[in-house]
Amino acid sequence: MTIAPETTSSAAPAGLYDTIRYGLIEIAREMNLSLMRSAFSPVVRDILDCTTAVHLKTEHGWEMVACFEGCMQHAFTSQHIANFTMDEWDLDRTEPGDVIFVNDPWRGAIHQSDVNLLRPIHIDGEVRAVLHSTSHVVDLGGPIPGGFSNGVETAFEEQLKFPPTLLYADDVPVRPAFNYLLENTRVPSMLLGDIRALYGCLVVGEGRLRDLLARYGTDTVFSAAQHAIDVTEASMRAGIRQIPDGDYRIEDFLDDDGVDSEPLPMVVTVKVRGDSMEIDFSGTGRQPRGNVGTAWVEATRCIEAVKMLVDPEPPVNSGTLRPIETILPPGSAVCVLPPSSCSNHMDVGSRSINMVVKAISGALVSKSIAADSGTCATIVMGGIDMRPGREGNQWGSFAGPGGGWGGTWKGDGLTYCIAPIGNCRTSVHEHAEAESPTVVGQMEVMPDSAGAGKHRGGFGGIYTMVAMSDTLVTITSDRVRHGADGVVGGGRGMSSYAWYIPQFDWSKHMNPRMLHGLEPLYGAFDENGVPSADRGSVEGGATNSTGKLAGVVVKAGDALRVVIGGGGGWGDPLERDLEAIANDVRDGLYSAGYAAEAFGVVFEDGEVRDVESRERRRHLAAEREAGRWTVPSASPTDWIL
Amino acid sequence: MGVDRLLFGPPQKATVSVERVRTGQTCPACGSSDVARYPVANFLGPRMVVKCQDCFENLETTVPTADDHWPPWASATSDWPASRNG
Ligand SMILES: [Zn+2]
Repeated sequence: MTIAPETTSSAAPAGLYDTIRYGLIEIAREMNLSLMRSAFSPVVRDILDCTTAVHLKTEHGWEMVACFEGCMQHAFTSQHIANFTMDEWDLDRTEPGDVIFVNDPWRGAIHQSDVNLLRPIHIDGEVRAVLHSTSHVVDLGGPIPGGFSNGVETAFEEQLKFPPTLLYADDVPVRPAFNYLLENTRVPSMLLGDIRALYGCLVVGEGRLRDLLARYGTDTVFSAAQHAIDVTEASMRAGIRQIPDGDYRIEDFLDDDGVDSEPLPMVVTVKVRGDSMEIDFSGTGRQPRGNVGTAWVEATRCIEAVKMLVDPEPPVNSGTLRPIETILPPGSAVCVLPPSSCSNHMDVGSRSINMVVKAISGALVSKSIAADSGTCATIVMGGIDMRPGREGNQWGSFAGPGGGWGGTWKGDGLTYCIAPIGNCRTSVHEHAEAESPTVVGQMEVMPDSAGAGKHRGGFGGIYTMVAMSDTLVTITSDRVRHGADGVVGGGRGMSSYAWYIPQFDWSKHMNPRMLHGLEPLYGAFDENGVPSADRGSVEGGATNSTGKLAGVVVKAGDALRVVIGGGGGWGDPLERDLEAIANDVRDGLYSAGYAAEAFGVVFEDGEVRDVESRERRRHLAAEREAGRWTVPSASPTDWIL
Repeated sequence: MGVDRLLFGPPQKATVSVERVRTGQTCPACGSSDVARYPVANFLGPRMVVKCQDCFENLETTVPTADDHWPPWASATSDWPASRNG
């Protein structure tokens, strides 16, 4: 018997393969820069809620070999969108220069507002690649502007939904498709600019891909792509192998669905066997009446959590997804059936990722992480500009105030950071104020919002929008009933709130603790009207018992304040380093009042009193032992009513 | 396929779970008799798998048939001939 020498392809130099691998990522990056620079809406240009990807046909199907994301979730959802669409589309009828438009959540789209353009690429006469661009668009029709149709029950009441639809044929715009889009949006100029940018970046991508194929040869590029996916899979599997075999079950809930007031139960069981994983949502509540369910995206989006914890370094491609299978119970909140509404995907999405993080960090015991704010508290604003010189202009704008991440075994949680569902930025204030009749009154850290712990949570944020013209607002928020849970003895973060501020006065309304004259929109309040998740409830203290609102009108001269809560704490707050607490108090992050209540630290004239603090900590520990004290949820202790 | 898989009533049970149907097979990798068939989303999309529940050895992955109802919804036109416009 003779042993055949290795073929040249399997022995191809790793250096060449890596060059091509990063060449493919570079294509996605250049597509993304082109998209970001040429789009019209702040969602793409400033918030970077947009992603580009390169898919190649492999022996398995359509596999994403490279992407460049503005928003992390797209890196995980792109692959299924490409597969659903390419499986359904008749590629024999496809011509070079065709572009397919799709935004159907039951075909892998996140929600209707996240539109997808797919450009099949013919290589040697056969469709062997597809380029994908996606972004959230400011408005796509339906009764509620902006895409988060809180309070509705069916997809018929949400933004326009497109099954795979030809948008360009032979690089010529399909006029009926464009007319349909442009005649059904509140912001046709912005939408046209964005669609053209989403298309243009695909043309840029095709040029770069053809350059790469010409330079290295089609076979070599495809082999290198396969190699890139294989090594990514191997790296992910090595990460999963660190987790002990077992079934790790986590339960949590969403406050409500924006229609019914009952909490929506969510269950996830992460099953690990060697280097394979299942993420099973069995036991999750049935699809809600309101719009907080998701249709398909949790199939891959929740894998973000695994990636972050076990293999954060390598760029995401199809190999990241291969070791994991998800189980979505049909008719549950993570697999709603048509025609259920599903436009507010962000709360179920944030929570799913949070729960998978908790399950894995629990399995790794030594690496536990407390819960994060669990919501992005996205604020969608729009209306008709009445500022002099701009009268009659239709406008739309977004804000994404950050929340807090949970404290970890390693250190304090991140402050003012969007939930790990994505890594979008918020709007650039100067752009928002120039283009929209709004003034950003505040975008800053909410004091006393971080869950107490040996390693505290991250602090949440305040966003205050002052209206210069009447403004229609949608808010999607959660963790209004309770803040984010702590772990291993840590306390909860602050819960979420919103207030309407009539006749905003810069000299008196900038103190976030000052509630005099403010009208609570949602939040947990005690019987005296003091914000408190521990002593209060979401019923009675505010106009709404839900943090999912649509159709809020902020009159010109009035303001809206949204507070997004903080992350939970890690470990016993009575063991937190005194100097670290002193620093937080000096920085204005914690008040001396909350530091005394939750950390047992006594201040006098701004300085920590060591002896008194140690005594108070001993006392609180004894009270806790006797069942008379628990770590209070984060919240200011000095509200001014 | 027709239009019978476009619209659905809301589920009746308060919580929903996926059933793993035992196949009676033995796992070729670990010898376990706990082998089951069930719907998943794998890296490519919806699939039916036959897997050992003890070691996740994959005995079979298939594209769902109409009888699998996975996912429950389906395009009404998927088996129609395509026009130039799709
Ligand atoms: Zn087995």
